[in-house]
Amino acid sequence: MSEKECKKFIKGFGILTALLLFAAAVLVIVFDPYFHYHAPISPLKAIYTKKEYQLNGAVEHLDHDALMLGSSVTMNINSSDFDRAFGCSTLKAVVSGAKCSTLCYYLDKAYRYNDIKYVFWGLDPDQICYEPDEVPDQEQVYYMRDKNPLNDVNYLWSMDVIFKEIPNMIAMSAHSDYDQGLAYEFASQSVFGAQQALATHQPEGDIHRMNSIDGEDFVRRINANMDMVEALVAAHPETEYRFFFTVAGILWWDIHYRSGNMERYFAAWKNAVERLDRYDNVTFYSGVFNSAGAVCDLSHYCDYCHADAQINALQAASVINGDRIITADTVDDEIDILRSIILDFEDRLTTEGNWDFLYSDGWY
Amino acid sequence: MYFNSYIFIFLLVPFALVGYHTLNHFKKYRPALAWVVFASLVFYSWGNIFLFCLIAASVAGNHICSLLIKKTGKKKLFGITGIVFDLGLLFYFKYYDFFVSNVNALFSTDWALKHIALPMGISFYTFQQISYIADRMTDKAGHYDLLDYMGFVTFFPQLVAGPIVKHSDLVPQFKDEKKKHFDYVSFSKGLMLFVLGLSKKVLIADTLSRYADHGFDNVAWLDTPAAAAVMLCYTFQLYYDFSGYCDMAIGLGRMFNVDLPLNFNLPYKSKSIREFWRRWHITLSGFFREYVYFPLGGSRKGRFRKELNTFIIFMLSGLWHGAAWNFVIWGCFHGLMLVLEDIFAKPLERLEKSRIGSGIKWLCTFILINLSWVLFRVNSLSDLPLFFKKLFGLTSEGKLLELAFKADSALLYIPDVLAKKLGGEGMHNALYLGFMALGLLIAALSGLGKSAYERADSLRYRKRTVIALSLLFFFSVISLSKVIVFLYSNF
Repeated sequence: MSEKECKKFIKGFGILTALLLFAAAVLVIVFDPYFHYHAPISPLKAIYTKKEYQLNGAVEHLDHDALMLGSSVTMNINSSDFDRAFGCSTLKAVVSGAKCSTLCYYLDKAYRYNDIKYVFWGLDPDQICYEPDEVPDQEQVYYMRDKNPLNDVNYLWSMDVIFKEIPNMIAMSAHSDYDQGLAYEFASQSVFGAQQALATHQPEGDIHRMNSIDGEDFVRRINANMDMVEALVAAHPETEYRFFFTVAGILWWDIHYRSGNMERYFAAWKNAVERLDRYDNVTFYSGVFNSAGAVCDLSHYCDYCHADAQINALQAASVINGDRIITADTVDDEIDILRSIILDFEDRLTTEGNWDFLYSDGWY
Repeated sequence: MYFNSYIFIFLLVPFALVGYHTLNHFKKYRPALAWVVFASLVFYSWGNIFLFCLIAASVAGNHICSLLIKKTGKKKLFGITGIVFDLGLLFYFKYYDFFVSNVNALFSTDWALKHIALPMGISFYTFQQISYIADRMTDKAGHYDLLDYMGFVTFFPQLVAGPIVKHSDLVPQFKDEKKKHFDYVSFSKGLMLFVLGLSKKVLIADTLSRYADHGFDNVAWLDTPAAAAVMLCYTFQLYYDFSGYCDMAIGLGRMFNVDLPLNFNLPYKSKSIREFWRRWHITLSGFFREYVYFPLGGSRKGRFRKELNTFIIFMLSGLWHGAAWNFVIWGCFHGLMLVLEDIFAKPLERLEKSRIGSGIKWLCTFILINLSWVLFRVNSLSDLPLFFKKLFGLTSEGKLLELAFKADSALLYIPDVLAKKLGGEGMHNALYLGFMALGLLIAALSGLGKSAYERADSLRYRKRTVIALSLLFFFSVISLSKVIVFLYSNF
């Protein structure tokens, strides 16, 4: 090939490649399935597929005046229930294995971009017990979180985004029945029942002595986490905070009974109520966290911890109906109910010597 | 930093090329070389300053030994010191844990393992420097100044995955003023090689790796068709991964107007294991031949010593590839095959004279190579008999279809939606099976056709070539960033 032809070759390759890459970037910026630059352009809808990639953009760019915060045990709640009950528009900011600090990060960010009237916060006891300095955690994809435009190439030039997420966004937007309140739910793709729940349950053999609730490190962690929550609550009296104790299956409690963390988790919940109950804009709801039917009936569970849509609807209903409010005066009684359920279960397990009784209806 | 990353393709390469050619244009030849050395060190130590310290120490140690040979004339003393230093570094970073775990197993000791992460490229640049020091001992090489020496060792296109370049291949090119001008022809061919190499790596090797990884991670799960598919996928994955990287390296070299030696030449076309090693990782074979086989006596000390020497270099080659027994066994297997080929040379030659015989030889070689890659890839030696049991057990439990579903290409999304709508489950299954088969077919056809070098050397300006290459580059680039499905995604 002559030098002249080579120049044409290099030029042609350069121009065509640049055009292709530019076109790909424009396509992704226009459709923006992860809401990194803007909200979906009508008639496209926000289609929630990958929370690790979407939440940062969603909190910043999607219009909402309410936020639902929580972990995987709240993912199967339909947040549209809150919209209908309170006349708000709720964004589901749910994070797998949510840490308090991560949820506070999203809430703080939401305040910067929206007027938040309601916060529906599914409070897992372990949320408050994690190290408080782990934001951003590994779940947040760095190039969707930071403001470095150079990192955006990972998003702009991604085959997955161009050939999967954008077509999916177009197709799902055309579905009139796409329910945004079911963002990130996994119940519809899961199989529920005692067999599934027990198949994932791998408890430690030995039962540990309960860890002290006065342990220095434990107290430091819950205080630091609750400081973050309290700061947001105090700074935003205009927002109505509706916390609810999340429900977890009896097998999850079995794990934490054996690991010795159960009393710490109860103490964490109690601490949360005692610190926040004095704020007028805060209400705690029991959800169904201590309902024997909700906790123990494994036909509602797809694994050792996560409940189906029916139990999740009950969690939301508790907040909507305003029944079973927990205060600093009643929190001990409410927790006692759950403690009894767990201890009765452990007694039964010791007596029976196997898990078979969990297959029978109404064993609790 | 990796070749298949945005930062490398869109920042480091342009930065290095523009600086190098601009400085050369103004006849600033030494600063131009320094510029490339700087870019190479940034490339190597990106995000890990320890790597900079390591390569700096390695380069300094060898350069000092060479200098001492020059100053004192004590070639043997400082040559051996240099080689021991190189092997010591390699032993510590690559073989320490392997050695200790074997000592522990043999003598029931409990020496602690260090769990040292293998620094990237250490096997390559250590061997390059050993070859240089060995050449210094035999007066085949002179002493280079530090900049030339650093250019030879650190030149980033070949630094982390070869080819294993000799000083005599590289340093004269850095000194040659004729090579300092921007050569459009060399650049174009380099660009083509780089794009072909990148696409071999990210479009073919990474696609096949989904199947191979799943199969080798779940050996007990396999049935015979799935085991065969996994074995084939790995055979092609390894070739496209490694040769793709080398194509990129050689292509980058040409963009700098520097020729790097050929490292792969359609190895799966080979009709014997000996031919395979003349086509696969050519520069490593060259290194072992020149610096181990010949010093051991080569073929000059009788038939037995020749076969023994062959066996030894292949055992060492196995060990070079990885610090584990399966690599050693893999090397021994190849050594044994070569010895057997030598013993039965005459009947094998006769066989090749007929077309059918030649085809049989190719098939047998290809099968043997496939089987040897199983030795190379298994996660542990205990998986080895199980894999072969699955492969030869003649069982069929529908695992091939399950394996096909491990494909993770966004390109399948729209066809899959359409397939499900139009043809239901049957078409959905056929799509995934077809995708896996297509991947293997493309790999096989490309692997048996023209090599990337031949394609680059026969490059002609045609619009369709430009379009095809731009599309290959585009699809390779958009394949670099994967949207990960988090394992803990739902919970």
